[in-house]
Order: sequence, then structure tokens, then C-alpha cells
Amino acid sequence: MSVDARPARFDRADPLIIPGSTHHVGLAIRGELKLFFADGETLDCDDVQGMSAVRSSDTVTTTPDGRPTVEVTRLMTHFHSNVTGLLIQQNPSRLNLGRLTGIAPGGPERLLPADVTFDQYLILALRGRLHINIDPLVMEAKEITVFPPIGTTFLSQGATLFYDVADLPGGIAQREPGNATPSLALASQSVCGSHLTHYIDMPSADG
Amino acid sequence: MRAPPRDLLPLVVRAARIGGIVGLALLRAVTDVRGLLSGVPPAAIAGDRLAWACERLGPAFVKIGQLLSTRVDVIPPAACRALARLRDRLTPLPVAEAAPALPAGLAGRLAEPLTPVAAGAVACVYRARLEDGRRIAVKVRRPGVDRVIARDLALFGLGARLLQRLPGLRGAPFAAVVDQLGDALTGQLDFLAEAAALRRLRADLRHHRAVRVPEVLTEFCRRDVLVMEYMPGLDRSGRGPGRRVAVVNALRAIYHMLFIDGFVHCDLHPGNLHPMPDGSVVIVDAGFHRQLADSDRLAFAAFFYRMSRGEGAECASIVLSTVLGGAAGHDASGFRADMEELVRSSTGARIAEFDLVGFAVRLFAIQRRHGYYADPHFVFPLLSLIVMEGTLREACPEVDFQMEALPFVLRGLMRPGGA
Repeated sequence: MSVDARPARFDRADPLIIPGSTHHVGLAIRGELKLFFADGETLDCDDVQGMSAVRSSDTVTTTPDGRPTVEVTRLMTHFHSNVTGLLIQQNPSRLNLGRLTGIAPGGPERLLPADVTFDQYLILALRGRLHINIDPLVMEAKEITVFPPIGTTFLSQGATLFYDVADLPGGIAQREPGNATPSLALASQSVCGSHLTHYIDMPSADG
Repeated sequence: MRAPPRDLLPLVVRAARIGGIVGLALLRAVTDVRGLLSGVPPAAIAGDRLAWACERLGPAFVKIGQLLSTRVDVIPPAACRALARLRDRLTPLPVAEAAPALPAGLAGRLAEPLTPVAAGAVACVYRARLEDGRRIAVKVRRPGVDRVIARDLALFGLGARLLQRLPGLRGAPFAAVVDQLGDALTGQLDFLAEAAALRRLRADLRHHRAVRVPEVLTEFCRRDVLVMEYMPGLDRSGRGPGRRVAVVNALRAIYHMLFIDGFVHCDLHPGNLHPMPDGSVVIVDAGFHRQLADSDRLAFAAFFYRMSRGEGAECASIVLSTVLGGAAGHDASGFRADMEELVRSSTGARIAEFDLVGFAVRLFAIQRRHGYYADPHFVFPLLSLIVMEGTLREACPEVDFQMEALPFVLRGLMRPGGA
């Protein structure tokens, strides 16, 4: 694995690179990320930043209305807030899948502009406790014109409840809350503008 | 509960009187040539005649008129203004008739005579001052109002049971709704219960500094007399630069009641909820209140949570877990599909776009179409929001109804016992 040394003329906005591409992106959150607690406390985290990695599938399929679509998988999430001490990581026990769908009908060449959505399952570390979400934290970006989505603002739908891992018999692998009461909730209206820090070349097994 | 035949005669007489007064009101509305010639809008004339009819028909009808007066988006504003006099500007009970109702322990400690400040369907409120200088509000129940309400409720119940026999309406819980309305109305006659409700609201909302609930002077209260701290300036409420802020504070107070405590003031029309010029809001008259069962409170919160996420299928599951037993031929899959479409078309709307009444009407229509009926326990909490919606829509249409609710919904779900 080596740091990408692609020629400068390479156009990252080229839709043809989407299938099978992998990117690591440095993210800076520029919106409101709020944590709500049961006692009424609200914690604003506006200095969250960190790294994320996403891989897109090799296979482009077509939606019923004829638009190209490709599955994307979030491989890594690692954000932190220096001010609040919040650490956000991906829950390794669950797949963090998403989908990029072209707005116009056609083949892979029409993958951009596109709408992107991710279902994220996270582990929040805060004040010595670990919290996971059972419902996905859904992140969306509309009409992106480049991929990786450099400079794109992602929005999350509503809010998502998190549970203290200590209250879940199955730990981070638990799929239903059972009798557990949510420990906090995360709501975010606008989340991240992203900028690409580097490509990492990951050759496929078949060369 | 079936009315024995000997009790039917007064009901028939009462029904005839209702028909007569409503007919007379209609007749006076359409023949008010003088009003029309002098430029009074027809809606104002109709509203005025409707208010006239409600005043004559008694407290149960006044309550219906009060609710209508808040719906500027449903009926013409001129009619709303005419109906608004039903909120607290009815003819007051003369002081000479009210004073004898005061307990001796209170009457002997008054430093000044009673002064009428508001008159509602069930009671009148007077301002006074105690010997120790405290200004107080004294609420006195109108004599005989309990008998009138009992008779009208019996009539409503009879009508509801007849409606339930009509083809297409069999299984509809009209009688259950009327029973709950009856509980609510008769509950407003017990001022000791209202005193307890005010104390509970004051405690529940103590952290909302912009929300004020008068302190009850328990030692002077009786079943027909309620004594509380006097809140000055209510006659100036609804005006001033702080009105918009005050209305949003009121909305947050309602969300707190609904989602966090489950203890709900169900009668927050503008006569009971006062946005003050300084941005605070004063809540009075907690006679019509409900304590939601914790499971109902959680279901309510979970529905809003799922709705904020645009999850129509989950919303449908919550509703299906709370509806009254499905009628024969109920269609769960059809219900789910229609609910998903309803949630999809309503998610994220601002108050100017989100029509709560329309949403509720569509929700209930979907339930009926697929053979279900709403649990009446959910009607009253919805009512508290619906009553507020008209005021909110008028004062601050830019407010995002659902985003404002979200912090309260989340905290409600995080309370112990939540799911």
C-alpha cells in the first residue's frame, strides 16, 4: 500500500473512477452537532474533525427508473472533539453501507451528479462511557458533482438515539435495545465539508 | 351507558332547545341586513351569532366555541374574533352572588372587595387583596353549572351511540370520545383537582424560566373556589415585541408536558395561555388536564422521533400498536403504505407548511379506511397541540414544528422506562 502518486492530470471528478475506488478523506465538521442527555443537558460539539475512509463497489446497477447506482461502504470513521472530549468511531460489528445514485438515467458515465446516503453505526466515547446507536445515523448529500465528495455538506436526518454499551447485554453487537433506555441522542443539521488529504492505492487481487 | 326512558324527556326537551337556538342563530345571521349594510363582514356576523348560541346553550357549547375561535386557518379570522369573546369575556357572575361562595377563612382576610377580571363558561375570576398585602385571583364556580353539563353530556353520549349505529360508522369510538370529553368537562368543575394540577404544572415547568404558572394558595381552596397568586398584565397579553418569543416558549412548554412528563394542559386556548410583552408566557386554568400513561407518552414521543427521521413504516407500527382493535376486514399492509406516504409528505415541514389538523385528519382517515380507530387517549394530547397551532401559525410561521419538538422528544425517550 503506498501513498497515491497519480498523475496531476487525473480528474477526480471523472465519474468513471467511482466504481471500485477507495478514498480516505480528512473531514472538518462545520455545522451543529448536538448531544442531548436525559437530564436536559445539551452539549454542542462544533470542533469535530477527523478522518474517514470509503470504498465504492465495483458493480454499477440500475434503479427501476433507469438511474445508475453503486453501493458504497464506509470503512473507517474517526472523529474527535478536543473541546468536549467526544470521540466518534465506527462500530466494527455492523456494516456501514451507503449508496450513490446518479440523478439522470444512464450507465456508469451518468453516476454524477448524484445523491449519496450512508447508514452509519457508531461508537461514541464520552466521559468514560461508550454509547452505540441501534437505528442508523443516516447521512445524506444531494447532487454531488465530484466523488470523493470534496467540499460537500452532508446532512443527517433528524436525530439518533444512543445506548450505553454497559446497558446492552450484547455489547456493541446488540441489534435491539430490549429494555435499555437511551443514554443520549445525537442530532446534526449540517455536518461536514470534506477535503481530500490523500489517496491510498489498494491494488485488487486480480491485478 | 343507556339512558332510562324517564330520563329521555329532559334530553328531548334539551335537544329541541339546542335545535331552536341554533336555528334562531342561523336565522338572525342570514337576516342581519343592518349589519351587512353597515359593512360588517358576513363571517363576523356568523361568528357573532354562533357565539351568541354557545353562550345560551351553556358551558359544553362554549368550550366548542372556544376551540373554534383559535382556528384562524380553518374558519375566517373575522369569525374567530367574534368567537373569541367566549374565552373569558362572558357575562361575569355578580360579586354579590360570588362573595357568599367564599370560605369564611378567606372572606375574613380580604382587604378589598372582589373585582371581576374574567368570566368563563364554568367559572368567573375576581381580583382581590389579602390583609397581608398579597394580590390574589379568586375563581368561583358558577352555581348550577354541574347540572347543565351533566345533562348536555348525556345528550352528547346519546348522539354518539346513535352515530355508532349508522352504516359505515359501526365500531367508531364516538361514545368513548364523548365519555372522555365528559370526564374532562366534569373534571373542570372540581377546583381542588385544578389546584393540584396547577401545582403539578408549576413544579414540572419550574426549569422553564420564561413559563409562569400561578402559585396556588391551598389553604383557601375548596371544590368550588380556587385561590391563587394574581398575575398582573394578562389583559395586555398577545401584544408587544416579545410575543413571538413568548409563543415559542409556550410551544416548548407544551412539548415538555407532552413528551417528558406526560401531564398535559389540554385547554391552552388564548384565554388560558398568555404570551407576555417581555417574552414570557403565563399559563392559567388547568382544569382540563390529562396524565398520559407512561406507555402512551412513550408511544407519542416515539411517533414524533420516527417522523422526524422520515420513517413512515416505523410510524405505522407505533400507530398500529395503539389503535383500538381493528374492525373486521382491517388492512394492516394498506395502512402501512398510506402511513409511509403521509409521513413522507409531512416530514420536516415548518409550521407554515405543516398542517397539524390536516395531518391528524388524514391520519384518522387512513385508520378508518383500513378498519382502525384511534385510541381516545391520544386525542387529548393532540388537542393541546391543535389548539396551540392556530396561535403559532399566526405569530411565528417560520418555526419548524418538528425541530422544536425534537429535544423534548429525545429527552422523553431517554427517561427511565423509555424504549
